[in-house]
This record gives sequence, structure tokens and C-alpha cells, in this order.
Amino acid sequence: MSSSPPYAETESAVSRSSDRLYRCDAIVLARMDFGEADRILTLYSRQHGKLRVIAKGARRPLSRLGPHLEYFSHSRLMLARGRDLDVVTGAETVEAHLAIRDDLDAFGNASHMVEILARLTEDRQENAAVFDLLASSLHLLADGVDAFHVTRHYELALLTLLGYRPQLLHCIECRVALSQAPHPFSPAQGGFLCESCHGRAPATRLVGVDAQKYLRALDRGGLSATVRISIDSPLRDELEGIFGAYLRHIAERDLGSLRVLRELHDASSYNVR
Amino acid sequence: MSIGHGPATAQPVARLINELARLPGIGTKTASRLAYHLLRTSREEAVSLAEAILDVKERVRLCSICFNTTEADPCAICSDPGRDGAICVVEEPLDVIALERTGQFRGRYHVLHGAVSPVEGIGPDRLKIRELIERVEKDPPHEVIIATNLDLPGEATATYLHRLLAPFGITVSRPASGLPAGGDLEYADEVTLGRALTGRRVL
Ligand SMILES: [Zn+2]
Ligand SMILES: [Zn+2]
Repeated sequence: MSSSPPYAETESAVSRSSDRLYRCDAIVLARMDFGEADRILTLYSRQHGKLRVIAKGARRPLSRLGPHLEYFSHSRLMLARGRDLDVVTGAETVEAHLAIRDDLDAFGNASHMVEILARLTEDRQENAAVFDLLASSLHLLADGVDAFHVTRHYELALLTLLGYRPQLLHCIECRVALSQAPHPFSPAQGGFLCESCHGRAPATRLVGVDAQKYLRALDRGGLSATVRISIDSPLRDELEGIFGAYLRHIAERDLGSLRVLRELHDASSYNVR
Repeated sequence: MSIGHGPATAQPVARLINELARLPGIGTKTASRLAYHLLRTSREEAVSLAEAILDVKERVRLCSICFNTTEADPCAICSDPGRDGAICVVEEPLDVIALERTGQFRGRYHVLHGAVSPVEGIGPDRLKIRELIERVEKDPPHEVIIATNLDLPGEATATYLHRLLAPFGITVSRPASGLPAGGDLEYADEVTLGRALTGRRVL
């Protein structure tokens, strides 16, 4: 919790009429420098879904808004309806998740979480469950829970909440129960294909039995069913790959955080020369 | 990106407004004001501005040692023998100016040209990080001060650099926080920035 007074106000004179002002709980998904010292922020709010707002003077070190509008921090905001973008007039930190900034793995995964949420949702489509999922997942990352498991759980839960739940038990095409064998996952269809349907589909990578088991455990039992599973790095890559391909297909674009996360993981390669 | 100005705006003026509006910190309103101001100024003044813009593009490049913007390579700071053996790592050339104003630092700089920001797709490979490591390998400084911004990308970049620099066994420090979190370094006043530099903490 920050020690600054609640709802630190900006200098800008904002009319006090209550129809122009509203409050919400929000997490910053993306930000862009604007003007001399302003920032345009993409937020995910519990009350109004995804919002684009402007925070005036937020880049100045002495800005009272800036510290509350950092990536990943859960803040309670006061917003004023503006002509183009709504304006942040007050901010109070609920949870800063400070530990995420000291842990590159948590930082990279948290970035991936907010990025896919920004890509997969439309403005002002309220979904409180999505906000709660993001808030609790960031909380787990800040608490030091294994970032791999937290992120895979977030991905599957988010896909499910947004109507993209992958089909993990039956063939996506003919509905036959999947046998205990490697099957290809089709990002375009959002599910696995059985042996006979696979023959007619374009060549896709086969997903091993262990990866399929992990996905089903996650689907059935959530994070508590997977968090204790220890998995080796080929299996990690395989699972990351399935989600990555599916998310890229839905988002219809490349995902920057996944690429940067890989670069951060390769950090050690700089030294061993 | 083109903005409609209506039939009241002459085409060359509309073009100038569109060009000016692309600059950071300038909206269409300010761009219009600037454009009409330029329209009223003398030809000499207009030519002088145009030449200054071209000059900067033709004569300014990046220093091959510190990657700050410079006319001569290496830059004045890198070739100054009076500088000590410390390297201060910053995000942008503007940060060098801010830190030089404090008069508290007598070493040299390394400009990364950004910070690690996965959401924006900016990874270590897009920054002058490999160049920093090579510089440290070739000519080890007695200290590296990581003066990236105090926001999340800046902090994460500092954490990442610290991990890369640890094997070299040199002192790696970060300016002490007299600086409030969340802000850009270039906006800090000299007193705060100077105090933060003298009281830096070892990472
Ligand atoms: Zn089938
Ligand atoms: Zn230089």
C-alpha cells in the first residue's frame, strides 16, 4: 500500500459534476508516451473491461499519478469522461506487485499475460471474472509461485472465459474420444485431431502424451492440479508452443512478450564466451 | 496518416501541419499554430530552420564507444582523458545531458537507446546491451552505474544488466532512490538527480 493520500489529484481542472467522474479498479496492460510528459494507458478494469485513458504528467518524477500507473499494479482510479480519451484524475495503489520487477522470469510472464489480454479483448466489454483472473495471477507471480504453471493456468482460464476453450478430450472434428497417443493440435480449430481426421488435415506438429495430460489436469483441476508437477524443459517448450500457436492464431499477430521472454532466458549465453 | 483540414487550408500548409503533427508531443492544434507561425516568418528564418534539420540528419551520428549522439567519433566525453574509469548506463541521450548537468559524475556513459519492455516487443537484442558487455570485457571499468529509468522497464533492464555484469567482478550500482518511482530520468531536477548519484547503492 502506498503512503500517499488516496486519490492524488492532478493539476488539471476537472469539472466535479458526478456524471463526468467515475471510479474503477484497473490494471495497466500497455502504455505509450504522449506529449511532453503524458502517458496514454490501456487498462483492464473490473467494472468496464478494457479502456484507453490518458494520464497527464505521469512521466514526471514528482507526478502523483505515475507511481500508481505502473505496469501490473492493481490501482483504484478516478476517471473523468473526456472528448477522445477519458482522463485519469486520481489514483490509489491497491497492490503494486513489487516483487515482479526484481524477477525477470515473473516480469516476462506478467508482460505476456497483459499483452494477450490486450490483444484478445475489445474496448468496454465488461468481464469481472477476467479482471479477477489477471489480478490473482499477478498476485501469484509476485508471491514467487512458479511462473510457468501460473502462466499456463492463466492462458487456459482466459481462453475459456473469452469463449476459446480448447477441446482437449475429443477430436475437434469428429468428436471421437482421443486415444492415449500423440495427437496434433490445430490452432485454427482450437483442439486436437484424432488419427483419422489428422490424415486429412495439413501437417501439424504432434503433441506428446505428457503435454496432453498436463493440459487435461489444468482444465480439470486448475493450478492446484499442476503446480506440483515437475516438468523438464522439452515439455515446457512443447506446452508454451501449443499455447503460443493458439494465441497467435486468435490474436492474428505475433506476440512480442513471448519473443522477449525467450531472449531474457538466453541471457546466460552472453557470458559463456 | 493524414488529417483533413478542409478547403480553407492551402495544400502546402496542410502538408506542413501533417509533418509537424508527427513530432512527439505535438498535436494537430499545436502543429497548426506552428505552421501558421512559420508562414509568417521571414524566408531566412525558415531556411535556417530547414538547414538545421538537415544538418542534424547529415552530421550527427552515434559514438562507436558509448552510442551517445555525436558529431565526432568517438564523442567528446569518450575522448576526454580527464574522465575516470566508471561507466554510467542510461536509456536515452537526453539522460546524459541531465546527468552532465549535475556535475556529480566524472566517468563516461553508455546509451542503451531504450529499456527492456516485453509488452512493446523490445528485448535485449534491440538495445546496445551486447555492445556494453563487449566494452566491459575489452576495457573493464572500476564501476558500472545503472541509471535506467525508475519505472518497471528501467528496473527490469537494471536487473538484467546486473545479471550479465556479475561474472566480471566489478562494482555494479544503481542511483539511490531520492528519485520517485515511475518517472523518466530526464525530468528529474539537478538536486534530486545529483543526490541520487552520490548516494548510489551497490547491486
Ligand atoms: Zn476425428
Ligand atoms: Zn562516446
